[in-house]
Amino acid sequence: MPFLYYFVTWAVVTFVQVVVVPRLVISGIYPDILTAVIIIISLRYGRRFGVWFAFTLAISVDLLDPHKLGWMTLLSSFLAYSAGIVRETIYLENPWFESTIVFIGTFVYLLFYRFLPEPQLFFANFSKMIAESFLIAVYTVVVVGFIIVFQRQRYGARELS
Amino acid sequence: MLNFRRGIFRNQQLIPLIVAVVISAFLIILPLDLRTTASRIGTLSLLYPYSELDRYLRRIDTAFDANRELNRRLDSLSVLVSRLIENKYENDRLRAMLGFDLHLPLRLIPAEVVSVSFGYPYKSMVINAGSEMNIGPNMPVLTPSGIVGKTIAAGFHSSTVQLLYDPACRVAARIQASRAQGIITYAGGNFLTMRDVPAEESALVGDSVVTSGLGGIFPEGLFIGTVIKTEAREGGLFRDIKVLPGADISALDEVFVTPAVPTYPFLERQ
Repeated sequence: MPFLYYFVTWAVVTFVQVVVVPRLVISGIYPDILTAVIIIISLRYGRRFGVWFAFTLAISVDLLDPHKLGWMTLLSSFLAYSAGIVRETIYLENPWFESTIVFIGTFVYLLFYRFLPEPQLFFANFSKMIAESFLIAVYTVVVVGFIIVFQRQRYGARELS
Repeated sequence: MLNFRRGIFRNQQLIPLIVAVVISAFLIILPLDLRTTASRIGTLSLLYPYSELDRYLRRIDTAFDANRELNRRLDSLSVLVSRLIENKYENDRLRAMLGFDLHLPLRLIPAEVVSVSFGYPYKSMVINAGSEMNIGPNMPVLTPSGIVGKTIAAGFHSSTVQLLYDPACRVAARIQASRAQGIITYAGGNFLTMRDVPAEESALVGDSVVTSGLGGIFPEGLFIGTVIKTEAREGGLFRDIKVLPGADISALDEVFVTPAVPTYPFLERQ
């Protein structure tokens, strides 16, 4: 991926996550665009680039919350690495597969992101945490799924590198 | 152990993950005050444009909400102001009518206009007072500004009034200053004509025209209107005088009906 393309993607995703996402909140449920983009980039460009991309993207957004500083970076890196492994094993280049991976990845990532920094809080509100994570994953895949389908129809399948 | 290290560094894919994990772990174990400082530095440098944009958009959102709330209040206040203005006009009218009632030695029955019709066969209006208030046919209907017509039919709760604008309506009148007499009829538009005024009688623009009391319906001295034009008939003994009615007949809200012709002289509008 060219550096300029990478930088523009980073700037756009950070802008969306910091400025746009807070305005898409519905009853506390928001689309986790950052996680979705990390998964998609890792699926398309492999785990090595995916981890770098996830790390730089997550650390910039992670800075907003000093209480959880580092957790998003850590989990995003693992998420990107896992998505890269999926790419090398069972990846199917179609929008439905990518959307499914985005949904599963977002849901699992959110569970860990809520559990690891504050496990007591997580277990105290277990069902609520599960429900919120699920709804956020659904919201994310609804928003990002349209973009994936549009992008696939507009530009066609990209050759794996 | 050596083989394990070689395995890690041979696998190029793992290096970014290891670096990311180490940095992340370092950030996680930092004391909270250092994390807060790092967060503040990052927010003020890396994320500064986004934070500023976000703050700016929040201000716009707040201004938008405030604007919507103010518009809502403005709408309700506009309705309130409109009602207050209407009440003021009604108050002014009622005060004028009250003063008129006090100064005119007639028994006046107040009534509100229910509807006005300028169609066939009569140019008429309906008022909300009838025989229950001793109103019958052929009673003068007037306002503080002048007469507007006469009743032609009375129900129990309402009456029909033939307006001065009806072509069939005739009112015996005279010029207040010169005492010249004539008959008031409708002249089209918002004007009346005083017909059959002797040519030699004086009638000046601005003179008041009042009822003469000779018709038997309207008492003497009620204000009708003001002379705005005099036209002499060629070679004739009479002339016609164009009169602007004192009452705005097309915009009436409240009127008085005077049920009986009194026997004493009336005050005349100066």
